[in-house]
Amino acid sequence: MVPSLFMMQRCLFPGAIGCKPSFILVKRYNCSSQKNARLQDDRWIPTVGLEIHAQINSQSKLFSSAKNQFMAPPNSLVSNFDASIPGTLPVINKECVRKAVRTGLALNCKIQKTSFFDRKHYFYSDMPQGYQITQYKHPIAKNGYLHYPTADGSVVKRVKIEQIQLEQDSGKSMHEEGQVTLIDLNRAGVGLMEIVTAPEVSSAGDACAFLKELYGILMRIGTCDGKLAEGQFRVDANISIAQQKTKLGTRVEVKNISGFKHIHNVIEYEIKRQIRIVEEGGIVESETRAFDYETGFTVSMRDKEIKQDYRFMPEPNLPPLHVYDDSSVTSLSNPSSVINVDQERRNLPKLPADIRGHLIESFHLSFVEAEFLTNRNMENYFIEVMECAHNLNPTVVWNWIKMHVIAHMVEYNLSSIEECYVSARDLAALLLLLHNNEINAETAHLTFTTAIQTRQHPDKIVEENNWKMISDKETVTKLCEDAIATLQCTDAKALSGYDADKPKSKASKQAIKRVIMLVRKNTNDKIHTGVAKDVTMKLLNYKRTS
Amino acid sequence: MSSTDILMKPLVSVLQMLRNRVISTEELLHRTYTRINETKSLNAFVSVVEKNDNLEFCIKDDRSSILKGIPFAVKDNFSTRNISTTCASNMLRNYVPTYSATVVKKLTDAGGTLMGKTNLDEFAMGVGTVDSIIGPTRNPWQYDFQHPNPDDWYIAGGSSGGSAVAVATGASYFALGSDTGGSVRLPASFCGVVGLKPTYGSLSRHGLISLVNSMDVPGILARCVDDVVFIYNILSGNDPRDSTTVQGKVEKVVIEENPSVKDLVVGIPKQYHGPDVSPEIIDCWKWAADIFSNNGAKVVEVSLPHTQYSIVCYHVLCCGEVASNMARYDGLQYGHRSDGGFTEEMYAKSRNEGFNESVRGRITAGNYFLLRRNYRKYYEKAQKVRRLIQTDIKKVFDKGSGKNSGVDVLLAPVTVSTAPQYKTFAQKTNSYRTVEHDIYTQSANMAGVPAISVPVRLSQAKLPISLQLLASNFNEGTLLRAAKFLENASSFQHPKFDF
Repeated sequence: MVPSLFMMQRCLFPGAIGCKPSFILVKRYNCSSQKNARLQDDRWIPTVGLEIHAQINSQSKLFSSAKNQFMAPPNSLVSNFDASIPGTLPVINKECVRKAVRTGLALNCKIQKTSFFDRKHYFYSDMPQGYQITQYKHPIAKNGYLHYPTADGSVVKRVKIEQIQLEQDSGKSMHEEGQVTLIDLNRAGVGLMEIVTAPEVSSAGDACAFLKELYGILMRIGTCDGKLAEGQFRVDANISIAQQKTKLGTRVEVKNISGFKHIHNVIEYEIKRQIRIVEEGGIVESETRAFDYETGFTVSMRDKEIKQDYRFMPEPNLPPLHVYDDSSVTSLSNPSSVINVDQERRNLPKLPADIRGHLIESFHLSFVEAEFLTNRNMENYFIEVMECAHNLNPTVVWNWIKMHVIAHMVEYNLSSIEECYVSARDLAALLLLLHNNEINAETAHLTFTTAIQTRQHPDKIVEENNWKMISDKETVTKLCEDAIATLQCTDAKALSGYDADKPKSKASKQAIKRVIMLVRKNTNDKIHTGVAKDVTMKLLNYKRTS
Repeated sequence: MSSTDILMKPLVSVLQMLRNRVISTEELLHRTYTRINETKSLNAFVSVVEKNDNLEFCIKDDRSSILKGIPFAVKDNFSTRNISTTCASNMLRNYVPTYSATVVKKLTDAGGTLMGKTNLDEFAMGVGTVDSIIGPTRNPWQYDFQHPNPDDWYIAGGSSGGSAVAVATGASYFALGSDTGGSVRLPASFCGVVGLKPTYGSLSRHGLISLVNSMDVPGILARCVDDVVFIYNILSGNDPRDSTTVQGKVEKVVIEENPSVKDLVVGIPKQYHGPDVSPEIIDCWKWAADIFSNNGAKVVEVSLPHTQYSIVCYHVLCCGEVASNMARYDGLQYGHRSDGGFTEEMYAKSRNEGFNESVRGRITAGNYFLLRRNYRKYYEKAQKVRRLIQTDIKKVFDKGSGKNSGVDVLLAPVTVSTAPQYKTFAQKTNSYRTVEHDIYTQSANMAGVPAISVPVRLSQAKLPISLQLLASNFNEGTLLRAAKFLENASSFQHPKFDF
């Protein structure tokens, strides 16, 4: 490791004097004329291709043993190699390769048994080598595809995945006030998977739907932590418009967008900007633009105005990267030391689409409900609740998870459902009590909160607190009859307003309420009011008609 | 100088003396420091490790180590922890690494004493050890130590000239150099020492500051083949920090005192009979072929048809990798940094001031070759030619492919002439000199095969003439055996320089 002092002196420098933010504004398209633009939009076919930079959640960096971790003190996770100290050499991190292979498999790619690394040259202060090690010509995975549901789940679309390449992330430049640039190399050399799609997406909505599906897959297979605010899932969008489907227009690249909402806005904005230019008789320039998070505009990036020549060349310090399969691995003396693609395929978990399908089919959840559970890794919890208590209505269970379980996890800052204080089994018991009218909704909520605090079984909580309600029909009928009789004797007017034809009238309700109040009083508040209400209504109806 | 100069003795016998306490490590170090001082005018060292630091180290050392405090030197492009590593360049004038190269660490771990860092052409780009920030290194042969003439001396050869001179004068028992196109073998031949360029991947490059990653290999310079073998056995093997090193174990090389060459087939590459080769060298070459033949080896003429393209191919590949490798020197994290200006301005200024003309020239050429529009025309083509040269050499060594093959070692000149005088050499451009002197050495780097330069006799001008042997990949055993045979046969005498 480089001593932090060395880096602080030499790297956290008040230098690069005069280095200005690399964005300048060129021309802003005014969003307020949206109405106008929408009218013209139909004549244009937008095409979007996406490049996703997903940070691999490996322990250490792609080519060095420095830790991969966010929010560490600046330049504290920098090995000699990451700082481009002369004489250091890259050593591939097998874990990154494994995760790229898994990702490739999940995206239906053909995994390349041999892939190569290249150097991509450009001078940028947060890229200390003066080049990025990437896979330009022979990436680890090629020719895949992904089926993704549109936002409401009504249609499933398909996008071709051109390739997945392993590459290094750059460091971070922080342009401070006072024209000083500070460099933090903690991120420099962290492994990225660049996932490149074919230009096949035709709207901002579809692009987001695709990205969400992709994101869900990466989360599910555990190859990327996906913290958007930390830049672990960044998107470059190539956007063009044309009048015919067969012809592509000049493409504009918008770089480095994080967050689905932003991506949606960028694509929407850029499509409109391009239409506006063309409609006004202009020509869309092939350029690289950046998204300005503050204004919501895309702006031309001055640095890249001149077309970069990256002067690619093979990385000479890394031998070809080999992965194996069941048949080729047998010839090796130490098969456990290599990546076996077949083994990785067998180890892949169920992917979100399958899980959603299962939830929809077996429990008749809606797409949105199924997606909700899947995205939060809660499907097993849900399924377990349902298995413990077959009678429960899946939507009721889903609602309980959505309302109460999630609220509890947020309150206790729990990151996964496994940490939840109320197990699926316990929730099932609780919901059964509710289902059987042994407790009402209010008590159910109270029991849930108590279960979180005391970690006791709901049955026990209800038992010990004597919260169980009188809901048995015979007993309730008896109690209600008694109450009606009492009222008739003591306060005959109380029931006189009840009208069997209009049970929802104010007077009828008032009458029912009086009965219930008395029953509650007589039972020390243990009556299940819902059941009592039904019974009372029936009794009163009977009395009137008889 | 005493008549039995212990500093000129073979490593193995000095180790014996240390073991038997005929001499102490301290005494050996004192003498070596004296020698470094005596030969200061040769300018072999960029920096010398403080005497007290080393004495402290060797007193702590318990003599049970393999190298028992034996002094050695390292070319100044190998990273050495807490010791400046300049690459003889203004760019790294004040650069002090925080780690040591694997090969250096292996030597110090084995108990060797690092005396200092030796001179080279800036970033190892050159064949003379003349393009250095500390000035040129001078060849001790025919050098007037008493009345040095500023112009009239012979060059040491390069780029590992400092290491060759340190070994030739007894300022070190052995030294590390780096060989990318001949940078160990050429100065070894000019200075009359043995210089081994091992198989690519048999020695770790971790910590060696890159010139051409796909050809660089740490090399060993010593005064006799046995010493080279001894050090090679310490250094060879896999290094997890260098992914291009050999996987698995490397066999230790064992050479007999008087090895036989009866079972060997010695190839004479006919394309190496260039018109520029001096008659003295041709004559020496013929003599050596006869010696092999007379001792039972089968000597055959072989063809390496793509030899003539090697120079231009090497030039393109070398410049491309140089352009890439030098991109890191932007003055931000380390190295020379100019003041002021915008970032790009600062880069440009720092690099312009930090690199000499020859380095800048190669960077410019390399970037040109790598441009998208030129890549296929130059870089890709050069890679293809490299493959042809590799195939040539592979075929020659391949035992199973019939005629013109099945050779164990190739016997060839190292270069076209003996060491030239500085005044003639200095008139030519760096690139011309490279073309002239690297012509017979580059092929080994292109193919990755091991090669060695062995001093054989003196020229009429009393300068060393050396010959080169090459073997197939990881066949150091055969190579060093043939080298030992040649050494025995030639009985080359290390001179007593008149310090």
